[in-house]
Amino acid sequence: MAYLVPDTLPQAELLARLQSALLAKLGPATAHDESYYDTFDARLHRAGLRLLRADAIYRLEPRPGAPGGRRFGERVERRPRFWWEFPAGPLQKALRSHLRVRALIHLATLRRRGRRLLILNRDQKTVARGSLEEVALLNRGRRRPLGRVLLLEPLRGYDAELDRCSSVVQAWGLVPQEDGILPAAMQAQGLELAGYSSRLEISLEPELPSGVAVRRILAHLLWVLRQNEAGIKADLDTEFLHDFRVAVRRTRAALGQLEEVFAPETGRHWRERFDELGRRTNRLRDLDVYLLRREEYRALLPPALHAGLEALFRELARERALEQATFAAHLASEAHADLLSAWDAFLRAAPAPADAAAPAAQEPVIGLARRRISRRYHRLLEIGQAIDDRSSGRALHRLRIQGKNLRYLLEFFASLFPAAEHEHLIAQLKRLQDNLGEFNDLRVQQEFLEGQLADVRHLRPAAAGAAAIGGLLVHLRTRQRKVRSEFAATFRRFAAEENARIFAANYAPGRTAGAEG
Amino acid sequence: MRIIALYSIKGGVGKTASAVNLGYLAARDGERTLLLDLDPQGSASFYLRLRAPRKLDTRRLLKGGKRLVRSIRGTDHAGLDSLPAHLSYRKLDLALDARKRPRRRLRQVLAGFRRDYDWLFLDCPPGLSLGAEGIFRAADVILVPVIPTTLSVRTFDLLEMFLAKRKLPRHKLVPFFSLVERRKRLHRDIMAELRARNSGFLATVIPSASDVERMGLHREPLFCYRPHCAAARAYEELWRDLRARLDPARTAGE
Repeated sequence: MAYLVPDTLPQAELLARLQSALLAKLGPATAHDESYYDTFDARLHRAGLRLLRADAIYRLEPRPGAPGGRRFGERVERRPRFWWEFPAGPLQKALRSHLRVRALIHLATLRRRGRRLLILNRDQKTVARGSLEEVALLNRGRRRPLGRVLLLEPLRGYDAELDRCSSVVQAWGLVPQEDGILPAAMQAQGLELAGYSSRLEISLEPELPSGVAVRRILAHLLWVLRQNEAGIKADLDTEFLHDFRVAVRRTRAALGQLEEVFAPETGRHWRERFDELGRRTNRLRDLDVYLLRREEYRALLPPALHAGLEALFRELARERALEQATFAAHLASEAHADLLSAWDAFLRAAPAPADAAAPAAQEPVIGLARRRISRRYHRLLEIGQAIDDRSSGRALHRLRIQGKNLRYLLEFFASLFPAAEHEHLIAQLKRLQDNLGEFNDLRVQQEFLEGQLADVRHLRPAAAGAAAIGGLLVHLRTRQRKVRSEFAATFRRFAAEENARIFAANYAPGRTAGAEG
Repeated sequence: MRIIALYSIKGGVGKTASAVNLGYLAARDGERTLLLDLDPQGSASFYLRLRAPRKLDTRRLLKGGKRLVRSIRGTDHAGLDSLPAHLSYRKLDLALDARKRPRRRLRQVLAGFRRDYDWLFLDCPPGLSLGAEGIFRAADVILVPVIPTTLSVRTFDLLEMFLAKRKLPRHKLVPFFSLVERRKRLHRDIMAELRARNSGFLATVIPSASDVERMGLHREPLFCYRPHCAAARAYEELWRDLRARLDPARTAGE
C-alpha cells in the first residue's frame, strides 16, 4: 500500500516517528525509474495486473487494489511492443493470453528516489518491508514532482502487524492510495487509466424520446472513432483500425436500422458518407488479417511450401504499408475532419420537436427498440429457415448480415432490457454468427488468394508463391465444407423454442412497461 | 514441487543449519520456497526469528488446507516462507496414531502447497517414529547429514536397514558428510570407508565451522553475515548438487 505524505509533515519528523513508533530500520538508498505499460484498452489493468519495467527487468504482477496472483519477472534489454517480442518463457506466456494482437503502450515513467525500510517486531523479525520515497513523473526529460510516498508491502503471515502500521501512519495524516501511485501519475499527464473500451456501454432510459436516444448512441460511436484515429495514424497495432471499423459499421447500422427517427434524406446522406469511410478501410483490414494469419498458414503448409508463403507475405506486407499510409493520410485530411465535425454538430443539434418527416423521433425509445429488434429477429428466422443444404453461399451471407444487424440493435439497447436474458440471447446469437462468420471468412480468403494467383508474377519466386497459394486453397475449401455442414445444427439451436420464448417475453412490441424484469 | 527432508535418527548433526541455508539458497535462485519446521524444538524457526503462530498446533498441521496455509509466515528473506514449529509437535506420533492411514497423512498435507511453492524443505525431528515414516513417504529426497564418527555411521546403517525392512524406497536416501573436521584422521578414514561401501554419498562435504554455529547468534542464514566463507561455499555446492539431481532440465539450461 502506498501512502501519500502531507507536505506539512517534515521528512526528519516522519523518520523519527517511524523509528520510534514502528521500530523501523532504515535500509539502503533506492533509486529506480519505473515505466508502466498497458494496451490502449487497458487489458492488463482490467485483468487486475500491471506491467512495469525497472532496471531492464519487466515485472507482471497484480496491481494495487486487485486480488493477489502470480508474479512474473524477466530481464529484457529491448523494449518489446508485442507479446511475441518477449523472450519465450512464463512471462511471455502470461502476456500472450492478455495482450493478443494489441501493442503495449507506454503509460508513464516514475522516478523514485528514497530509502528502503524494514518494520521490525521485538524479535528483530521483519514484519513488513517498505520504502520512503520521493516520486516524480518523467515526461520528455522533464521532472514533475508528485510527492513523497511511504510504501508498505505485506509479508505473508503478518497482516495484523501491517494493519497496525497502517492505522499508525494514517493517524499521522498520511493518505492511503488504494490503487497505488499510477492513477495520480496518469492524471498529472491529463490521462486516465482504462479510459477506453471498445465495449458499448450506453445507458438509456425507457421513456427517453427515440431521437435523443439514437443520437446518444451515435455520439458514443463517434467518440470511439476519434479515440482510435491516433493509433491508426501511428500504426501502433491492428486493433485500432478494427475498433474504428466496428464503430463505422455500428454507425451505419444505427442509421439504417433506426432511420425512422431521422428525416429520410438526412439518414441516407450520413449513411452514404459512412459507407464511403468504411470502404476506405476494407483493403487495409483484409491485409492486416492475412498478415496476422502468418503462423496459422505456415502451420497448414508443408515446409517445402514455406518459401513460397514468405514470398506471398512479403508482397502483402509491401501492399499493406502503402494502404496504411494512404488511410493515415485520409484521416489527417481536411475532408475527414469536416465529415466528423459536421457529424458532431448534427448529433449535438436537438431533434425538431415535431418533425413530420421523422415520425418516430418523439416515441419513447423502448417502443422503438422492441419494434426494431423484433422485426430483425423474425426476419432472421425467416431467412434462416429457408436455407437448406443446397442453398448458395450468398444466402448464408444475407443471413449473416441480418444477424449482425440484430446483434448491433441488441447492443445499442442493452440497458433497456433485463441483463441475464439479454446476455443469453447475445451469446446464442454469437454462436450462430461464429459459424456464419467463419464460413464467410473462408470464402473471402479463397477469393483473395485466387486474386493473388491471377497476379502471381508479382511474387518472387512466382512458382513457389503459386504453389503455396494452391496448398492454402485446398485446405480452405475443405474447411469451408465442414463449416457449411455444421450450419443446420447451429441454426436449429438458435431457433430453439427456449430462445423464442425469452424473445417474446422481453422484446415483443406493444408492451408498455420498461425494463421491469 | 520438490520435497526435501533433512533427516537423521541422531540429533545435532547439522540438519537445521542445512535446511535453513538450503532454503535460503533456493529462494535466492528465484524458487518459491517453503521451509517447514517439524521439530518441536523449533530451531529453524529460531534461526528465522519466527514465533509459533497462536493457532498452530499438531491438529492444524495434520488437517492441512487453508487454515494451515494461514500459519505460514514470510521470512526476512525474499522468496522464503516458513511454517514455524510448535511445541505440540512432540505429540505428533500420538496424533498420527489416532488417524486412519497415519503414514500417508503428511504427504496429503504437503500436496496442498503444490500451487504456491516450487521447493519444500522439511526440518525433521530426530528419531525413528511414525512421523518419520510419513516423512519418508512424502519426500522426494531424504537428505541425511552424517558426521564421520563411528556412532553416526552406525545410525546411518540402522536407517538403511529400517527402510529395507519397511519396504520404503531406499533410493530417496541421499547422505552427505556434515560437521567434518578435515584435520581429524578418523573423519578422513571413515569418509573413505563409507564412500567405498556406499556410492550414494554426495561429493560435497560441509565442514565444521564456527561461522555456522554463529547462526544462532545472528538468527539468520549464513549467507547474510559470512557469504564467502568455506561453509557458505559448501552449502552452495550442496544446493547445486541437489538441484541438478532433482531438476536436471532447468540446471542444464543455465
